[in-house]
Amino acid sequence: MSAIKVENLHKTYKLGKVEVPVLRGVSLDIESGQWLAILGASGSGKSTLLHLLGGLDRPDAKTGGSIAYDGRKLGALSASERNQFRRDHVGFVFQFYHLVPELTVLENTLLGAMIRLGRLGYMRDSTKLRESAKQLLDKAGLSHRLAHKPAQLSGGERQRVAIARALINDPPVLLADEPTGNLDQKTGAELLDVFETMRGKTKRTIVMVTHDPNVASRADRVVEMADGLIRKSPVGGGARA
Amino acid sequence: MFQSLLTRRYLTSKVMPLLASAAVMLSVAMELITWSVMGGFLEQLIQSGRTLMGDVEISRPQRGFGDYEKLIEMLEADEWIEAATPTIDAYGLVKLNAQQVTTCRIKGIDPESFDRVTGYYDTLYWKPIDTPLPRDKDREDPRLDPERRDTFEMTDRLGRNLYGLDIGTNSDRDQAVLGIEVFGKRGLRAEAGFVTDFPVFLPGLDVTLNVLPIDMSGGFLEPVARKLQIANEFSSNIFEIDSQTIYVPLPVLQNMLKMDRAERVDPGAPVEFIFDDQGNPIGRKMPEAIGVTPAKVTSVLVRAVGDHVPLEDLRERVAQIYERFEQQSAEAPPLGALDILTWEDRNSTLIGAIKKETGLVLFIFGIISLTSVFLVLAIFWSMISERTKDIGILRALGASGPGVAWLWVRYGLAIGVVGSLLGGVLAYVVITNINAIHEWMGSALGISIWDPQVYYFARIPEDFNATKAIIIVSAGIVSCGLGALIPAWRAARMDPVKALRFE
Repeated sequence: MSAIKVENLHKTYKLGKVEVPVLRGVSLDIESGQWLAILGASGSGKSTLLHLLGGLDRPDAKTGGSIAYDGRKLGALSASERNQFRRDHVGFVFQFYHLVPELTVLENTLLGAMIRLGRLGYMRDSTKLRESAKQLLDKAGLSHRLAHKPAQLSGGERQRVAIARALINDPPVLLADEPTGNLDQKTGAELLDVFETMRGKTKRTIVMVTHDPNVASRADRVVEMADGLIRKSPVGGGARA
Repeated sequence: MFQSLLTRRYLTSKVMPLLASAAVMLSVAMELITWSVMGGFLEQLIQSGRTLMGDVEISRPQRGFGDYEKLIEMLEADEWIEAATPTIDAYGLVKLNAQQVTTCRIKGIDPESFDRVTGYYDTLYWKPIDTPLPRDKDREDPRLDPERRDTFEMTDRLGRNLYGLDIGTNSDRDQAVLGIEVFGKRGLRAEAGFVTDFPVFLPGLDVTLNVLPIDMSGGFLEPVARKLQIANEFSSNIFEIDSQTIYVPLPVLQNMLKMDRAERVDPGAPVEFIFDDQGNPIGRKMPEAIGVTPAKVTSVLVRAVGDHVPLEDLRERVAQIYERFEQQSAEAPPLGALDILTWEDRNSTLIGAIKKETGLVLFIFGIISLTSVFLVLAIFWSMISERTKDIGILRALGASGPGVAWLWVRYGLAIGVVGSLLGGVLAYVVITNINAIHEWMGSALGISIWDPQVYYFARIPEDFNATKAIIIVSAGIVSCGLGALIPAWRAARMDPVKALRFE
């Protein structure tokens, strides 16, 4: 059964009066529990596809196509339902970490839970949540960095915090946009190990965007994007193909 | 939840919110100081005036009216009236020595009843005190000196009686009480307009009063001079009064102005001479008296019972009593020939002007304070641009548009709370030390803003009003919330994808 079904997805951006088509009819099935790598050069539309998958953006109104999670179409959701969807179903990891610089490692990790549960819910479960956050950070090798601010961490450590933050609500889908793009090869490889560890026994679905074939090879399955289209689908996963 | 965490962290992490808080603080402090000083000034003016002049005044300037004892008896019999006192107001020249001559308002009073109406005894300056004034941290006030206690007890007693021991001749004589600022201009007041804390001790010196009496037809008679000893000085805290008023015993001024009790003669009676033994005329016989002209006063001041009798009602009541008095006394001028006015009526032009001035100043500062709204708006606009990526992160984590907007409104309110409370504290410190600050500005920078000759009071009002503080502080907080609304709306509408890509 497909966890995520993408059909004929179109997305066009306007640059002034010029319309730039970024996705030109992407169709893709992602199975539940699969680690999918979307490989492509810069400008191929892979990040846009990821944003659409996460409900951060909407496809074109007329010819946009659809994204469905277990048969539930994202396009049919209202704005507040999309917020709810992001809170409950997906976790994002970005290339540039996107941590809040004023918050500590632990607070950054808990941010998603605070947003999901609201004040009362968070206060009710705060002890449990803090414990979960600490466990996630422990798995990421950051248990000694809980009170540090992002500026005091290395790039790899920041990205591990971002992964912990993405997983604090235990979402079934993790969306990662060039998670190793800002790291050296060794640190990138270590981070992918963390991905593997964090993926855990639940085998959550991971959709990872990358331009690096070596990184993509860690996924179960690789698809390649170019010019707003899926070029090869499916491509056998590197290590696990 | 994330809003409160981020608000706390944003507040303490950057210079921008500190600048915004400082702007709000200064704005709130400025409003509150202005309102407190101007409002305090107006309140002090009304209260002081009421204290010094009673609630209602019956007056007939220059010519005066007689039989006032009966009028006062009738007034004091009324349940609304606490006390009434006769006074005479005249202008004259006052000479302390060859160099110090000034024009003054000379007021003839009956000290005992004048005190019941105006609290006169409390205004006497030279009397022993046990605790120093709040500003007198070094206890330099001579009135605290136990060795001079006897002297100050004597000056207090002389001031209360306006009659007593002449230090030079060791005999009793009439005394005068000067406003503390009457001769202050000669050096007690510095050029920059500041009042020295402890004026020069004048009691015991002589002062010469010169007045110009008028006759029944309003013509001028020969000037009359009289030397009195200075018994004490008084301080009402109203510069205008303290610098221009001298109290003397009522009978003394009545005598000088020819307003005392006199026998009336027929001006058309034939002249009869007195001859010596040789039959030479040596004088003129006084014509036979055909009646008595009673002593006169120019005003009767009336004090209401308590503070709850409306002034307008009291004025009506006094007018009714006067009408009864007019029917009973042959010496009473008709009601239309007198003025019966409340203190506020008499000073309505001044009070109205000050009220308008206070309103105008507040309005202007209110407009200026609106800049704090725009300041917060501008700062938040810039902060939201700086925090675009954070907004993208929050949206990616599932925060709603209104949730993000509330973060910024809450942040604005937090800046408002911090800035406004600090502004309130700053205003409190400034207001309660405003005279010390003003004097420091004068001595260190040569700047004098509060000129007592313009503002009537020697000292700037130091009243910190809690109600005004609550209003201004609340307005400051609300202003910041309003200033944050538009940037918050912008943040809420921000495209999360663009926000995440923002560099």
